Amino acid sequence: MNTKTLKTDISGALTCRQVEQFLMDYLDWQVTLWTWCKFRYHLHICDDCRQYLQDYRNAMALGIRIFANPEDEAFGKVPDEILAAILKSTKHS
Amino acid sequence: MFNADSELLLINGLINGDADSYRELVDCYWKSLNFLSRRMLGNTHDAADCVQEAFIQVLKNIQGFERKSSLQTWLRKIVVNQSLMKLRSRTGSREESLDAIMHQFDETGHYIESYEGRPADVERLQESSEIREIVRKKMDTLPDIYRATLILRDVEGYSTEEVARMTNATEENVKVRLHRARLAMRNLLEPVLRV
Repeated sequence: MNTKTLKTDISGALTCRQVEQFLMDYLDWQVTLWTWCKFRYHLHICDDCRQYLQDYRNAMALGIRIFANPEDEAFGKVPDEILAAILKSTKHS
Repeated sequence: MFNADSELLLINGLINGDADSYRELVDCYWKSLNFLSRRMLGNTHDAADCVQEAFIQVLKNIQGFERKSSLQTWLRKIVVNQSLMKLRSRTGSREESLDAIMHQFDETGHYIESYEGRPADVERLQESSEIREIVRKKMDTLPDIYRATLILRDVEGYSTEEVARMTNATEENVKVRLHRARLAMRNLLEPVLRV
Protein backbone atom coordinates (compact mmCIF):
# COMPACT_ATOMS: atom_id res chain seq x y z
CA MET A 1 0.00 0.00 0.00
CA ASN A 2 1.22 3.49 -0.86
CA THR A 3 0.82 5.37 2.43
CA LYS A 4 1.49 9.06 2.91
CA THR A 5 3.36 10.96 5.59
CA LEU A 6 2.25 14.57 5.91
CA LYS A 7 4.74 17.35 6.52
CA THR A 8 3.91 19.48 9.53
CA ASP A 9 5.23 22.63 11.14
CA ILE A 10 7.76 22.58 13.97
CA SER A 11 5.09 21.66 16.54
CA GLY A 12 4.31 18.49 14.58
CA ALA A 13 0.60 19.23 14.61
CA LEU A 14 -1.65 19.02 11.57
CA THR A 15 -3.69 22.02 10.49
CA CYS A 16 -7.43 21.88 9.74
CA ARG A 17 -6.57 22.40 6.07
CA GLN A 18 -4.34 19.30 6.09
CA VAL A 19 -7.02 17.29 7.85
CA GLU A 20 -9.54 18.23 5.16
CA GLN A 21 -7.05 17.71 2.35
CA PHE A 22 -6.09 14.19 3.43
CA LEU A 23 -9.35 13.09 5.05
CA MET A 24 -10.04 10.35 2.51
CA ASP A 25 -6.52 8.96 2.86
CA TYR A 26 -6.97 8.91 6.62
CA LEU A 27 -10.35 7.13 6.40
CA ASP A 28 -8.96 4.64 3.85
CA TRP A 29 -5.83 3.95 5.94
CA GLN A 30 -3.65 5.38 3.19
CA VAL A 31 -1.47 7.34 5.65
CA THR A 32 1.44 6.13 7.73
CA LEU A 33 0.79 5.17 11.35
CA TRP A 34 2.61 8.32 12.48
CA THR A 35 0.38 10.53 10.35
CA TRP A 36 -2.69 8.59 11.46
CA CYS A 37 -1.76 9.36 15.09
CA LYS A 38 -1.44 13.04 14.21
CA PHE A 39 -4.92 12.91 12.67
CA ARG A 40 -6.29 11.31 15.83
CA TYR A 41 -4.63 13.94 17.99
CA HIS A 42 -5.92 16.79 15.85
CA LEU A 43 -9.44 15.36 15.88
CA HIS A 44 -9.20 15.01 19.65
CA ILE A 45 -8.38 18.68 20.20
CA CYS A 46 -10.28 20.32 17.32
CA ASP A 47 -14.08 20.59 17.61
CA ASP A 48 -14.40 22.00 14.10
CA CYS A 49 -12.62 19.09 12.44
CA ARG A 50 -14.52 16.53 14.51
CA GLN A 51 -17.77 18.06 13.38
CA TYR A 52 -16.50 18.35 9.83
CA LEU A 53 -15.65 14.64 9.82
CA GLN A 54 -19.06 13.73 11.22
CA ASP A 55 -20.80 15.80 8.53
CA TYR A 56 -18.56 14.27 5.86
CA ARG A 57 -19.60 10.78 6.92
CA ASN A 58 -23.25 11.79 7.19
CA ALA A 59 -23.22 13.46 3.77
CA MET A 60 -21.80 10.31 2.22
CA ALA A 61 -24.31 8.08 3.99
CA LEU A 62 -27.22 10.32 3.04
CA GLY A 63 -26.08 10.67 -0.58
CA ILE A 64 -25.53 6.96 -1.05
CA ARG A 65 -28.94 6.08 0.42
CA ILE A 66 -30.75 8.64 -1.70
CA PHE A 67 -28.88 7.94 -4.91
CA ALA A 68 -29.26 4.21 -4.57
CA ASN A 69 -33.03 4.51 -4.33
CA PRO A 70 -35.00 5.59 -7.40
CA GLU A 71 -38.38 5.59 -5.66
CA ASP A 72 -39.12 9.32 -5.87
CA GLU A 73 -38.39 9.77 -9.53
CA ALA A 74 -41.08 9.95 -12.15
CA PHE A 75 -39.54 7.29 -14.38
CA GLY A 76 -42.25 4.73 -13.74
CA LYS A 77 -43.60 4.10 -17.20
CA VAL A 78 -41.59 3.67 -20.36
CA PRO A 79 -42.65 6.39 -22.84
CA ASP A 80 -44.43 4.78 -25.80
CA GLU A 81 -42.17 6.42 -28.38
CA ILE A 82 -39.04 5.07 -26.67
CA LEU A 83 -40.43 1.56 -26.43
CA ALA A 84 -41.43 1.79 -30.10
CA ALA A 85 -37.92 2.98 -31.07
CA ILE A 86 -36.30 0.12 -29.16
CA LEU A 87 -38.62 -2.47 -30.69
CA LYS A 88 -38.12 -0.99 -34.14
CA SER A 89 -34.34 -1.22 -33.79
CA THR A 90 -34.56 -4.97 -33.25
CA LYS A 91 -36.37 -5.43 -36.55
CA HIS A 92 -33.47 -3.90 -38.48
CA SER A 93 -30.74 -5.92 -36.78
CA MET B 1 -35.94 -8.05 -11.14
CA PHE B 2 -35.28 -11.57 -12.34
CA ASN B 3 -33.83 -14.59 -10.62
CA ALA B 4 -31.39 -16.84 -12.46
CA ASP B 5 -34.14 -19.05 -13.95
CA SER B 6 -36.46 -16.25 -15.04
CA GLU B 7 -33.50 -14.34 -16.47
CA LEU B 8 -32.52 -17.35 -18.56
CA LEU B 9 -36.09 -17.57 -19.87
CA LEU B 10 -36.03 -13.88 -20.67
CA ILE B 11 -32.68 -14.16 -22.47
CA ASN B 12 -34.00 -17.04 -24.54
CA GLY B 13 -37.04 -14.94 -25.41
CA LEU B 14 -34.81 -12.04 -26.44
CA ILE B 15 -32.62 -14.29 -28.56
CA ASN B 16 -35.72 -15.69 -30.27
CA GLY B 17 -37.00 -12.20 -31.04
CA ASP B 18 -40.04 -12.43 -28.78
CA ALA B 19 -41.60 -8.94 -28.58
CA ASP B 20 -43.10 -9.62 -25.13
CA SER B 21 -39.63 -10.39 -23.79
CA TYR B 22 -38.33 -7.10 -25.20
CA ARG B 23 -41.14 -5.26 -23.44
CA GLU B 24 -40.56 -7.15 -20.21
CA LEU B 25 -36.87 -6.26 -20.24
CA VAL B 26 -37.51 -2.57 -20.89
CA ASP B 27 -40.37 -2.36 -18.37
CA CYS B 28 -38.31 -4.00 -15.66
CA TYR B 29 -35.14 -1.93 -15.94
CA TRP B 30 -36.35 1.35 -17.40
CA LYS B 31 -36.77 3.12 -14.09
CA SER B 32 -33.54 2.11 -12.38
CA LEU B 33 -31.42 2.71 -15.49
CA ASN B 34 -32.96 6.11 -16.05
CA PHE B 35 -32.31 6.98 -12.46
CA LEU B 36 -28.66 5.99 -12.83
CA SER B 37 -28.15 7.95 -16.04
CA ARG B 38 -30.14 10.92 -14.74
CA ARG B 39 -27.90 11.08 -11.67
CA MET B 40 -24.75 10.97 -13.78
CA LEU B 41 -25.94 13.50 -16.35
CA GLY B 42 -28.13 15.78 -14.24
CA ASN B 43 -30.57 15.90 -17.14
CA THR B 44 -33.66 13.79 -17.82
CA HIS B 45 -33.71 14.11 -21.60
CA ASP B 46 -30.09 13.01 -22.11
CA ALA B 47 -30.64 10.16 -19.67
CA ALA B 48 -33.56 8.80 -21.69
CA ASP B 49 -31.39 8.86 -24.84
CA CYS B 50 -28.61 6.93 -23.08
CA VAL B 51 -30.95 4.31 -21.70
CA GLN B 52 -32.70 3.86 -25.03
CA GLU B 53 -29.33 3.33 -26.71
CA ALA B 54 -28.29 0.85 -24.00
CA PHE B 55 -31.42 -1.25 -24.59
CA ILE B 56 -30.81 -1.21 -28.32
CA GLN B 57 -27.20 -2.35 -27.81
CA VAL B 58 -28.27 -5.15 -25.51
CA LEU B 59 -30.92 -6.40 -27.90
CA LYS B 60 -28.52 -6.27 -30.83
CA ASN B 61 -25.81 -8.15 -28.94
CA ILE B 62 -27.90 -10.52 -26.86
CA GLN B 63 -26.75 -13.56 -28.86
CA GLY B 64 -23.19 -12.93 -27.72
CA PHE B 65 -24.10 -12.41 -24.06
CA GLU B 66 -21.94 -14.90 -22.13
CA ARG B 67 -23.74 -14.56 -18.77
CA LYS B 68 -20.52 -13.80 -16.89
CA SER B 69 -22.63 -11.22 -15.07
CA SER B 70 -26.37 -10.68 -14.75
CA LEU B 71 -28.32 -8.98 -17.49
CA GLN B 72 -28.87 -6.06 -15.13
CA THR B 73 -25.13 -5.63 -14.46
CA TRP B 74 -24.47 -5.70 -18.20
CA LEU B 75 -27.20 -3.13 -18.85
CA ARG B 76 -25.96 -0.83 -16.09
CA LYS B 77 -22.43 -0.95 -17.45
CA ILE B 78 -23.65 0.00 -20.93
CA VAL B 79 -25.73 2.85 -19.47
CA VAL B 80 -22.69 4.09 -17.54
CA ASN B 81 -20.59 4.04 -20.71
CA GLN B 82 -23.30 5.77 -22.73
CA SER B 83 -23.65 8.42 -20.03
CA LEU B 84 -19.90 8.99 -19.89
CA MET B 85 -19.81 9.39 -23.69
CA LYS B 86 -22.57 11.97 -23.40
CA LEU B 87 -20.62 13.80 -20.69
CA ARG B 88 -17.49 13.84 -22.82
CA SER B 89 -19.36 15.26 -25.79
CA ARG B 90 -20.84 17.88 -23.51
CA THR B 91 -17.74 19.11 -21.70
CA GLY B 92 -14.84 18.10 -23.92
CA SER B 93 -11.61 18.12 -21.97
CA ARG B 94 -12.53 21.08 -19.76
CA GLU B 95 -12.64 20.30 -16.06
CA GLU B 96 -14.60 22.76 -13.99
CA SER B 97 -13.30 23.92 -10.64
CA LEU B 98 -14.87 23.14 -7.27
CA ASP B 99 -12.99 25.92 -5.48
CA ALA B 100 -16.10 28.03 -4.93
CA ILE B 101 -17.67 25.21 -2.89
CA MET B 102 -14.61 24.47 -0.79
CA HIS B 103 -14.04 25.70 2.75
CA GLN B 104 -11.86 28.69 3.44
CA PHE B 105 -8.96 28.56 5.89
CA ASP B 106 -7.00 31.34 7.55
CA GLU B 107 -3.27 31.83 6.96
CA THR B 108 -2.43 29.30 9.68
CA GLY B 109 -4.50 26.62 7.95
CA HIS B 110 -7.43 26.66 10.38
CA TYR B 111 -11.12 27.21 9.75
CA ILE B 112 -12.21 30.82 9.47
CA GLU B 113 -15.68 30.08 10.83
CA SER B 114 -16.61 27.64 13.56
CA TYR B 115 -19.50 25.21 13.28
CA GLU B 116 -22.83 25.73 14.89
CA GLY B 117 -25.60 23.31 15.69
CA ARG B 118 -25.47 19.59 16.19
CA PRO B 119 -25.49 16.83 13.58
CA ALA B 120 -28.88 15.82 12.20
CA ASP B 121 -30.05 12.21 12.20
CA VAL B 122 -29.34 10.75 8.74
CA GLU B 123 -32.20 8.23 9.03
CA ARG B 124 -34.66 11.05 9.61
CA LEU B 125 -33.21 13.20 6.86
CA GLN B 126 -33.56 10.37 4.41
CA GLU B 127 -37.23 9.93 5.26
CA SER B 128 -38.06 13.49 4.24
CA SER B 129 -38.99 13.84 0.55
CA GLU B 130 -38.10 17.53 0.79
CA ILE B 131 -34.57 16.70 1.97
CA ARG B 132 -34.19 14.03 -0.71
CA GLU B 133 -35.08 16.64 -3.31
CA ILE B 134 -32.57 19.12 -1.85
CA VAL B 135 -29.81 16.49 -1.90
CA ARG B 136 -30.56 15.62 -5.53
CA LYS B 137 -30.55 19.25 -6.58
CA LYS B 138 -27.27 19.89 -4.77
CA MET B 139 -25.77 16.87 -6.46
CA ASP B 140 -26.81 18.24 -9.85
CA THR B 141 -24.79 21.40 -9.18
CA LEU B 142 -21.53 19.45 -9.02
CA PRO B 143 -19.43 19.66 -12.18
CA ASP B 144 -20.13 16.66 -14.45
CA ILE B 145 -16.94 14.68 -13.96
CA TYR B 146 -17.06 15.00 -10.17
CA ARG B 147 -20.70 13.97 -10.04
CA ALA B 148 -20.04 10.99 -12.31
CA THR B 149 -17.02 9.90 -10.26
CA LEU B 150 -19.02 10.09 -7.05
CA ILE B 151 -21.88 8.05 -8.49
CA LEU B 152 -19.61 5.41 -10.01
CA ARG B 153 -17.46 4.92 -6.89
CA ASP B 154 -19.83 5.50 -4.00
CA VAL B 155 -23.21 4.47 -5.41
CA GLU B 156 -22.46 1.98 -8.18
CA GLY B 157 -19.52 0.51 -6.27
CA TYR B 158 -16.99 0.39 -9.11
CA SER B 159 -13.34 0.25 -8.00
CA THR B 160 -10.98 3.18 -8.46
CA GLU B 161 -9.23 1.19 -11.20
CA GLU B 162 -12.51 0.58 -13.05
CA VAL B 163 -13.56 4.22 -12.81
CA ALA B 164 -10.13 5.29 -14.05
CA ARG B 165 -10.53 3.03 -17.09
CA MET B 166 -14.09 4.21 -17.76
CA THR B 167 -13.24 7.89 -17.49
CA ASN B 168 -9.84 7.75 -19.21
CA ALA B 169 -8.14 9.07 -16.09
CA THR B 170 -5.33 7.90 -13.84
CA GLU B 171 -6.25 6.21 -10.56
CA GLU B 172 -4.69 9.11 -8.68
CA ASN B 173 -6.89 11.49 -10.65
CA VAL B 174 -9.99 9.48 -9.75
CA LYS B 175 -9.03 9.54 -6.07
CA VAL B 176 -8.56 13.30 -6.14
CA ARG B 177 -11.89 13.83 -7.92
CA LEU B 178 -13.69 11.52 -5.53
CA HIS B 179 -12.23 13.24 -2.51
CA ARG B 180 -13.10 16.70 -3.80
CA ALA B 181 -16.59 15.58 -4.84
CA ARG B 182 -17.23 14.17 -1.35
CA LEU B 183 -15.96 17.34 0.28
CA ALA B 184 -18.11 19.42 -2.04
CA MET B 185 -21.20 17.35 -1.25
CA ARG B 186 -20.48 17.68 2.44
CA ASN B 187 -20.14 21.43 2.09
CA LEU B 188 -23.22 21.77 -0.12
CA LEU B 189 -25.28 19.73 2.34
CA GLU B 190 -23.99 21.50 5.44
CA PRO B 191 -27.26 23.43 5.96
CA VAL B 192 -29.28 20.20 6.16
CA LEU B 193 -26.68 18.21 8.09
CA ARG B 194 -26.83 20.57 11.08
CA VAL B 195 -29.85 21.28 13.29
